[in-house]
Amino acid sequence: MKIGIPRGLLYYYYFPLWKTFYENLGFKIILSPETNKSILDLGVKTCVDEACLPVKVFHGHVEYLKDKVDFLFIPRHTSLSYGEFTCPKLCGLPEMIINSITKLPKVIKPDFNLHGKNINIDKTIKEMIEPLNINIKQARLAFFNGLEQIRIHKEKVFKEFHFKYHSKRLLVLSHPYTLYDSFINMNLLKKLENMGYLVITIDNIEDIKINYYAGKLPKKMFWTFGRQLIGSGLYGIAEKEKIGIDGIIYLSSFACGLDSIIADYIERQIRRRNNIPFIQLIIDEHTGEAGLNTRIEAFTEMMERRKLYDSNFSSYGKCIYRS
Amino acid sequence: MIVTFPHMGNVYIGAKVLMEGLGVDIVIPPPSSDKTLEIGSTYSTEFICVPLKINIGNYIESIKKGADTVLITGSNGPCRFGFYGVIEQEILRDMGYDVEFIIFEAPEGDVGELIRRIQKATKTRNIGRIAKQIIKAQRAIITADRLERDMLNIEAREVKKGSIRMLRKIYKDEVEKVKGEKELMNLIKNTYNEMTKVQINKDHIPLKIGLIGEIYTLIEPYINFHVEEKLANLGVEVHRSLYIGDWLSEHLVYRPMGLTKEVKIRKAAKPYLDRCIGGHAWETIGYAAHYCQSGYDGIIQLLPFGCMPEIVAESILPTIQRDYNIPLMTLVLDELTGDTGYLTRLEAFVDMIERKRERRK
Repeated sequence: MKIGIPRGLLYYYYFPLWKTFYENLGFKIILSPETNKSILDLGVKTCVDEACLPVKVFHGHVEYLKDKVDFLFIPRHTSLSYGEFTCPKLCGLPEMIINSITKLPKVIKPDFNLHGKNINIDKTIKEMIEPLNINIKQARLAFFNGLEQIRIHKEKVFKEFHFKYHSKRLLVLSHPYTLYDSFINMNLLKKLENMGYLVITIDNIEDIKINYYAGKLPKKMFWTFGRQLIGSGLYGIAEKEKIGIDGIIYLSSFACGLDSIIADYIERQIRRRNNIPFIQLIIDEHTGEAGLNTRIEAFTEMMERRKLYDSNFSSYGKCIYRS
Repeated sequence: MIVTFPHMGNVYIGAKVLMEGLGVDIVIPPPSSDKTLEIGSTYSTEFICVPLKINIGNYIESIKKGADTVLITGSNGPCRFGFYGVIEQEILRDMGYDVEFIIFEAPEGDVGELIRRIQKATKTRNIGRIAKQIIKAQRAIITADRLERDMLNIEAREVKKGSIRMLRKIYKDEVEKVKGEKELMNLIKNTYNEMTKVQINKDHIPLKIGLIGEIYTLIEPYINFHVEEKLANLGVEVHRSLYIGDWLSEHLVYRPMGLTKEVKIRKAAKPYLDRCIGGHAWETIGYAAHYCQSGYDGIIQLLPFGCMPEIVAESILPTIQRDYNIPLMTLVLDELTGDTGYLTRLEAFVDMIERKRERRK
C-alpha cells in the first residue's frame, strides 16, 4: 500500500519521522517531486486566492499526488512546543485541503499537539494508523524510532554547518517552508553561496540564544516559528560581531500573517540602532527572478562597500563626525 | 491619566458607562473615518490586517484630544490579535508619542496581574465597585446592541424608506453626548418610543441574510461600509452572527466556568471543522451551517485581507454552500476597498437570491 506525502510546509522538519514511521510498519512512501512550475500552477488553481504561497504550493503537491496513492498523509500541526501554536493555516490544513480538492483518496490527518501540560502522544499515533489496521504496539515502536531519526537529522544540519568556514556571513530569516524550497525562493541560498556568503538560518543558531533574546519581548511570543525568527533576529542585531554577520535578509511570502508582525518588529529595532543592513524580500507566485536577483546583488554590493569605505559616511540627518 | 481605547462597534458605549461611573477621565476617539484609516495605514506595517491600522488612527486622533493612556484587550491564541498591543506600542513610539499601554490579559495565566492592571486603569482598588460598573457597562452594551438589531428589522419592513435612517442618525448624535448609564437608558427608551411610530409594511416578507466572519469587520460599521444598513435599505432582514455584548458575556462569564452558549453552533460546525484554530473560524463555520439549517436565503462572509483563520474558513465554505444549496458570498476588506464596487456586489447578490426565491415558489 502506498502512502503519499506532499513535499511542502513542515515536510522540511518532520519528514524523517514520517518516513521512518511508515517504512517500519511496511508501507511504501510516495513523495511528490520538488516544487516546479506545474505544481505551483495546480496549487494556484485549487487553493483560495487569499492564502500564502507555501500553502498554495502544498495544495499543488496534493493535487499531483492524489491519483497515484492509496492514502494521503496531511498532518495538522497545532502546536510544536509547550504553550505555543503554529500559524492558524497549519492548524486547519487538513480542512483546507479536503474542502478545496475533490476526489481525494483516504486522508490520514494526525494532530500533532504539544500545547497543553498533558501531551497525548498515543492519540497522535492512533490517528496516524487509524485507517491502516496496524497493531498499536508496533506503531509506538516505529514512532519512537522516528523521533530518534529527527534528532539525528537536526544534529547533522547543525554539525555540517559548524564545520564550514567562510569569511563572509549572512543571516537569512525565513520560515523553513520558504527557506528550503528552492523553487519558491528561486534558489536564494545557492545564489548567496555562489556570491561567497555563508548563510546562517534559524536552524544553525543555538536554542539557548534564541530563547534568551525572544524572552526580551514585552510579551511571550506564542508562535513557535515566530519565537525562533524573532530570537535569531534580535540575536543577530545584538551580537553582530560575535556571529560575524554582515547583514540580515528577511525572506517572507506575500500576506504572511506572522511575518507582518515579526519582520516589522525586527525592522523597527534595526532602524533605531542603525547598525546592520537589512532587507525584506517578499515573494509570491508572480515574483520574477530578475527582480529578485537585482535586489540581492544590490544588497550584497552595498554590504561590501559599507565594509570598505562607506562606514564613515553619514546617512541622512546624522552627524558626519565619528569618534 | 486620560484613557482612550480603539473603536469597535458599540464598545464605546460600554467604555463610557464604565469609566464615567468610576470617575476616570476618558477620551472617546472620533468615529472612524477615511482620515483615521489614512493615518493608520501610513504609519503601520504594510501586511498587517486592517483592524490594527484603524486602531492606530483612533489612537492618534484621541492623543490629539489629550489622551495619554491606551486600553486594549489581549489574547494568547494563534491569531495576530495577541500581538496588537506590542506592535501598536512600537508604532506609536516610533512616531514620537509617549503613551502608556494597559493591556487587559492574564500573561501566561497570571490572573492576579490582570486584576492589578484593571485596578490601575480604573484608578480604584475596590474590586466590588469595578465589578458593579462592569455589569452596568455590559448591560448598556447589550441594550444598545438590541436597539440596533430592532432598528434593522424595522428598516427592512418600513413603508417610507429612510425614516429609520433619520432616527438612527439622531440616536448616534445623542449617544455621544449622554453621560452615565441612566441618561443612556432614557435615550434608548425614547428611541424605542419613536420607533413604534414608524409604519410597517406587513405584507412584505423580507429576504433573510446571515452575516458571518471576523469579529472586527462584522462589528465595526466603518470598515464594512455599514453593510447591515445597506442590506436593510434593500429590504433584507439581516442577522449578524457576533455581537460585542454576547461575545463579552461568553468570554467573561461562560468560558471561565467551562461552559459555553455556543453548543448549537459547535454541533453545526462539527462535520466541517471540529476545533478552534484561532480567531473566529470555528464560529464562522458553525454559524454558516446554522443559518443554512434555519432556512436563510443567503450568507455573506466578511474578512480583513490576510486574516489567517478566516482564510481556512473561506476554503471550507464552498462545501457548506454545496451541501445546503444556499448562495454564499465572501467580501474581503482592506484600506483599498471601494464603496461603489462593494455596493454593486451587494445589490447583485440580493437580486440573485430574490430571483432564486421566486423560482422556488
